[in-house]
Amino acid sequence: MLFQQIINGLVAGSVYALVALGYTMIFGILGIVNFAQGEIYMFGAFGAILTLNATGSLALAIPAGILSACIVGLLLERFAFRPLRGMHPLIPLISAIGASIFLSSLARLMFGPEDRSFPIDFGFEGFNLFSAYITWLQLVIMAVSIIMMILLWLFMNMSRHGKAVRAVAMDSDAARLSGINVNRAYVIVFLLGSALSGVAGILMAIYYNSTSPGMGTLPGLKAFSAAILGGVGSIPGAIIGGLVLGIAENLGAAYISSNFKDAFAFIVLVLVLVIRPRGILGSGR
Amino acid sequence: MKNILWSAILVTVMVFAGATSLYAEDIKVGAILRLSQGASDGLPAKRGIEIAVNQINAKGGINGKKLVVIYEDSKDSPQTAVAAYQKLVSVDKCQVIIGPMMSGEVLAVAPVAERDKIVVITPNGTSPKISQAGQYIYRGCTTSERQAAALTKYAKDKMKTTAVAILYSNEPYGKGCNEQFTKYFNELGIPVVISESFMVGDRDFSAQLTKIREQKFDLIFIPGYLQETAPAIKQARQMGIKQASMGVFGDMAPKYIELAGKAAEGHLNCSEYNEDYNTPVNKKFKAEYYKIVKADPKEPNNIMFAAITYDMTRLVADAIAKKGYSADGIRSYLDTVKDFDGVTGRLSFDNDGDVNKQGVYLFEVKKGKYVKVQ
Repeated sequence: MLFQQIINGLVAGSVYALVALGYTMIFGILGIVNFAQGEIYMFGAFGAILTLNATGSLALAIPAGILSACIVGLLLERFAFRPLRGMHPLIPLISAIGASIFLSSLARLMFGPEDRSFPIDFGFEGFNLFSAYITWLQLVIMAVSIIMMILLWLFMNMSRHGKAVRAVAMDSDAARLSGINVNRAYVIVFLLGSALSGVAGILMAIYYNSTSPGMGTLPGLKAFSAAILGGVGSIPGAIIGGLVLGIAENLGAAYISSNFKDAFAFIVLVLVLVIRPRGILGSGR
Repeated sequence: MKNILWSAILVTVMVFAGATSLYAEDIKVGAILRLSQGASDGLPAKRGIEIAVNQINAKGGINGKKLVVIYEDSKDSPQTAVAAYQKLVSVDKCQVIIGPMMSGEVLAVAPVAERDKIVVITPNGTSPKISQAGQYIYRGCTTSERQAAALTKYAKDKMKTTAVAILYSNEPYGKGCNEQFTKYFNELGIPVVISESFMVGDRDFSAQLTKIREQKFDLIFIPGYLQETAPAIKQARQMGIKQASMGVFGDMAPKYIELAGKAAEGHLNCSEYNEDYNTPVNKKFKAEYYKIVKADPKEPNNIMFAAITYDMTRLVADAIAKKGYSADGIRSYLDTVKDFDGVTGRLSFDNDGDVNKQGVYLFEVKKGKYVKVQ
């Protein structure tokens, strides 16, 4: 059972990690917590489902889902955060919470209140590994997450824009003085964070065969905990935080009590804040 | 220019005067439903009321007066339900309220309604506590007690169940079902080998299901709301849990089958409403309901909730027509009504204000459709 629970934890955790990457990058560069990250995740899932319903093509649905997440992310950056730049950090935080409520209400109006199923059934096929049963879908979810993380790492370290983003994150004034377009870096970060959350939303819509306007709230909060756990602002930290959180809550539910499954994320969060406030890989900023 | 302005003002005054004079003659009934949070249950309930109101008004209303329903959103919160109740009673002067929909909300509104002497009819609060909530409190569905009795008996007699695993929703409804069904299973000599829970909003049940899979049982019972119960059974099947499955009446919706997909096959649950109930009233109701649902792809479809509120609205209208518009008049009618021709059966109320009908229908999913088995 232990091995099965760890696999379960890794699947959930790799999705938290994708969303946590969005939190951590936006925090790293803008110093704000984008509480609407869970709603971006939800719009990604809906974008994919609506496209799939309209065209019947999964190859179109996935990019369309990512695109809709990116559009929501860019609109947020433009209208919820850019006007508030330079203000007291509490103000963009409140704006983010407001945007999150606005977006889930908007989704309820646009898509209706009901859960929707993902119109392709991927079945239950899988294989036994030691004492655990792993489905192909679980493997695909983990593989896609890993590929996304590698792509992000390559972008941040190899590309010119990625380096610019890192420079802005280190010191935005110095970056501006050396000729880096800071506004563009902000937009890039929102784009990347939203795309990752969009992918996470689509993966989960497929995995659970269900989407709803409220689907982003809980994963959003858990991913936020994962980002804190790994050290806000740290990209490897967000990944480790996500995985640790996924495994912790599955083991907690298995060996302590499933009544508190969702509470474990937040228990872990509180423990981190008490014991090591900058998280596992945080820089102490 | 001045003339246009004056005529605009005149028209506005006339419209308002007309509206208020019409309004004064209307019969106002309140409804507290789940219109934002939980709207996939609340909207069908609202449609049921609307269909009844349209039919009544098309026939000339109640004793020549139009029936108007004022809707309030409970937002799935007992506090909001009480605030909605207070608005309906003090501002709109309603004497009767249909709703709220959740047991917790009903139990919060009940003492206030009892004090004010206002009739409250919940369409689907199933908690046994509602029976004792007061003389003005009525209920349009059977209690979870009767549903538990019917389902557990069927599990023993027909499915030859010998041991049960339970995965319940950790809120008042799912928790109540867990306790009640456990009691009934135990009385029938069927042990509950494991009882795990999940939270509203959860979509990942793998930790609980991994534990359940290690046990020996031949029926998995998943009480809760279909937003969670459908993904839960799907995941159970994905993890290789092949035993028979059973749920409660929240699963009785096309949405459940859509969300669970192939995993829904063989799922047993109960319902308050049988679409094939062969009466003229039901045929007419069904036709009008599906006309609304099919016209809008976003419209949630759960005909059972619509059927219950449809019956309750017609009962209220009948009461007002026969006994006048007062809470005590409506109450005296509801207490004495016999064999009312509802779409959910022939209706009357017992001393606790709980509805009496033929009983609970049991359904099973066969080839992606609900089929009545008892």
